[in-house]
Amino acid sequence: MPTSRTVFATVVLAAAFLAAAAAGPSQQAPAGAAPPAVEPTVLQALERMGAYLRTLDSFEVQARTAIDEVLESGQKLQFDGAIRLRARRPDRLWAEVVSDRKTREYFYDGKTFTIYGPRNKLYASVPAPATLREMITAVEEKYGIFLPLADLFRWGTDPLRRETLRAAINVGPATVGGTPCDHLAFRDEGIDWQVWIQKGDAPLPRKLVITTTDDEARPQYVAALDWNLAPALNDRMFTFEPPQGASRIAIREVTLEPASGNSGGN
Amino acid sequence: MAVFHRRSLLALISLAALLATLAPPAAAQRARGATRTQVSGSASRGSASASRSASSSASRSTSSSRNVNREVNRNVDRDVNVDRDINIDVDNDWNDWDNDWDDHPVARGVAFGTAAALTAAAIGSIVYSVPPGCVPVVVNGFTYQQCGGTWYQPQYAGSQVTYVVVNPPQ
Repeated sequence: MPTSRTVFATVVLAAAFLAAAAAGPSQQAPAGAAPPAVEPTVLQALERMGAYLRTLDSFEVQARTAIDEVLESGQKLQFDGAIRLRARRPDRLWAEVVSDRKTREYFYDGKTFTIYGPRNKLYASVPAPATLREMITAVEEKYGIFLPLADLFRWGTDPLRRETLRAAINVGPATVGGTPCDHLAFRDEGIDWQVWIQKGDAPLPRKLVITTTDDEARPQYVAALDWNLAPALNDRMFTFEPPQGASRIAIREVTLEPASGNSGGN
Repeated sequence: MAVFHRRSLLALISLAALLATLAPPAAAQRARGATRTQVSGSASRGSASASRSASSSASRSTSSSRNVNREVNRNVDRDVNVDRDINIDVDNDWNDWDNDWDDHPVARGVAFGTAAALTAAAIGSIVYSVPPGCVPVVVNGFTYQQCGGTWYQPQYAGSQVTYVVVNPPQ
């Protein structure tokens, strides 16, 4: 027996259908169906930012970060952190990553890469390639160490991105910390990401948001960047000198080949 | 013989793992650790994505993350311990070797905790931290932890410190 509620629902549905039909077929088909395009101007803006970053001989960035961690239950937690990074092309890098859980420093002086935990006083040093970019890739692939804000060294030099990029749109003007920016948004395999690029002659990334889309909780990583383009840097900053009480330990090479069974062991 | 030996070793490992999972107080939950922090680089393509697709069937079902590389980076399997959270801002919780708060490792698929004070630890097994009372010993410039008859080699695995049970170094 139809209740008044189901009758009401039917009427609403019918009305919606009629309204949709009245809107005309020309509008109907594309609505919601067409994915946002990859706008060439947006890719150009990204290239321009990357090209500008490569003109900087030295710089210092400080970033405030927030990262979501998803528990197995699905509950999402957020952890704040801070990054300081100093770079001098072609072959110097120092970075510090501080969070509630852990602090790490990374040193690269053109010859040696060192990871150091100022709180646990443990460090590991390995020989490193001769340039910053090579070093960043090498420590990722060989040791599974992902340096903070590594995108800064890769943007605009990475043609392979085009293959998987599904959307690149200009969201519009925005301000980050009072600085006028262009807000760009991208969809790629497993991630949606956004970058806010400073307007004007110095197209610096001022904010970055990465949403991991292949986890249904869609955890995010957010970094807001402050730039110093005239830092006072010297060689000593990039060379690790073990502080008193620091101990040298080993570093484990990661296997890129997936283990057939349990990959948690060695 | 060899088969039997292997099996008993496995049994020992699973026992240790069981004890380790039971050991932490209160509700210890794990993080999936899949949150990405880079838009480019090997985390999102290339060799890593190859390993990602190759291992996807295994990792999908366990809902852990897809990539060995990435897990290391993302602090996977970091226990979130309610009891300890209360003390999280206390700095001196961090400083010593035995602290498993500072350096939670990756041990995907294996439930490791702080090494239980077992008499025998299997060579090659990995723990978050060593039992109390271990002594740091430097051999050939590298620091080990000697815990009675058991030797642990601390190592950076990604940006995490883990401890591998090793034969006595020479």
